[in-house]
Amino acid sequence: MFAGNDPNLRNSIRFPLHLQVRLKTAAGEYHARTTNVSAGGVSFHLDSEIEVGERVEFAIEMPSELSGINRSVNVMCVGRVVRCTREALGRNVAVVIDEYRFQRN
Amino acid sequence: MSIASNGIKGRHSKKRRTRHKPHAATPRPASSTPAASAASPAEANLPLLRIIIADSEAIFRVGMSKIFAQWQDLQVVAQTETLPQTLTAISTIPADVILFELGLSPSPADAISEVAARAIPGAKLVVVTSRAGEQETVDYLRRGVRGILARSVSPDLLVRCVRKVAAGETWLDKQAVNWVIEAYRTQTLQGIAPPQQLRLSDKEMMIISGVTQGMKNKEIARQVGTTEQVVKNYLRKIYDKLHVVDRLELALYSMHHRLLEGHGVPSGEAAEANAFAQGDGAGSDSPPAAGDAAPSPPQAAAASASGKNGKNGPA
Repeated sequence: MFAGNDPNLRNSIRFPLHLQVRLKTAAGEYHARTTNVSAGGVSFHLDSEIEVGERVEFAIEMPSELSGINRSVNVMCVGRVVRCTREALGRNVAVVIDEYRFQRN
Repeated sequence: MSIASNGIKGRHSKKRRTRHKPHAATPRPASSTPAASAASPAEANLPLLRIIIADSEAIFRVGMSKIFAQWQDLQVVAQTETLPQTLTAISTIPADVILFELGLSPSPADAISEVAARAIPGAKLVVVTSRAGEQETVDYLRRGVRGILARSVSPDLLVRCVRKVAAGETWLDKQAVNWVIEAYRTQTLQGIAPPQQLRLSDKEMMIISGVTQGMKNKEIARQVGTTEQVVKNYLRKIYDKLHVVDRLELALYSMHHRLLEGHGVPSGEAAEANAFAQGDGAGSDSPPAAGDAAPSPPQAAAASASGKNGKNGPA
């Protein structure tokens, strides 16, 4: 899904979850919502252009109302942009997750 | 307002401001629709519901607006006639219900995903279509739709649908409900449905809860009242049962399937950083390895700052 034709990058299950993402790039910080998430990467909409191949840090919020626990948890990720395509409004961005850790709020 | 220049009729339009509404949550006196005649004293306390109408045909937009205008608790805050207008409106104008006509996009399923992703949180999406077959119905619901309305819906059902969906219910006709139940039975949810024979014990649920909360194995073990090694063994079993590969996938699976909803699992103590793990960039982690995956909080923090990371696995 996120990384061209490499079949190894398509093993994880994609969940159509719409989660808040806080994204840090060299150009600045952005907020977005995922269109789907897997253990291997995330896809989200962004108003700005972002360079494919760029290393990004991002936090995915797992809200308590979805997770069923009484506090929200952030998944702090480091990854790379593998796709940025134009849409009717903004861009659809796909990022692979290279590293992650959970962070409780 | 920039939205107005895009052709979207916003909530501050002159027409809206000047319309007279004599009594809260009651239909206009002149109305003789079934909805109006069905008004009850309880409706006097209905909360204000903000509605965005996205429809390619003006006649339907006007028609629906007129129906909603009969009710004090239903306010049309925007009307759009194209997909770009709709995306702008739903991402900038707070709404409780979005009525989205599928004719706005040549690829309705993708459009639904886009609308669901861009809508301001809290807005519930209802699609309006002349026809939705079995596969489409299941697919639309999976993409976040809360209700499916026929284009030929009667005024009273339209109003009821909006109120029900805004209240958190799902609006489907009997045929669609049957399709959804059948889809659940036959596991046609494209590989993301829970395994049919899925049975998780209370202890497994507690461990899933711990992982979803970002707890380390050591913390989970303390909470469950067992050892770290036992937690690792449990995690392997859980991974096998749910066909997930690591903690993140387990947490996502748990959220998607609402595994912990109403389970009453306890939460652990707060910690700054836990359970640091490394993905392979593809979510295809190596099989769970023995040993503790989670460094202690200071290690995790250091790893985070330096871009290094700990091991992954059930541990």
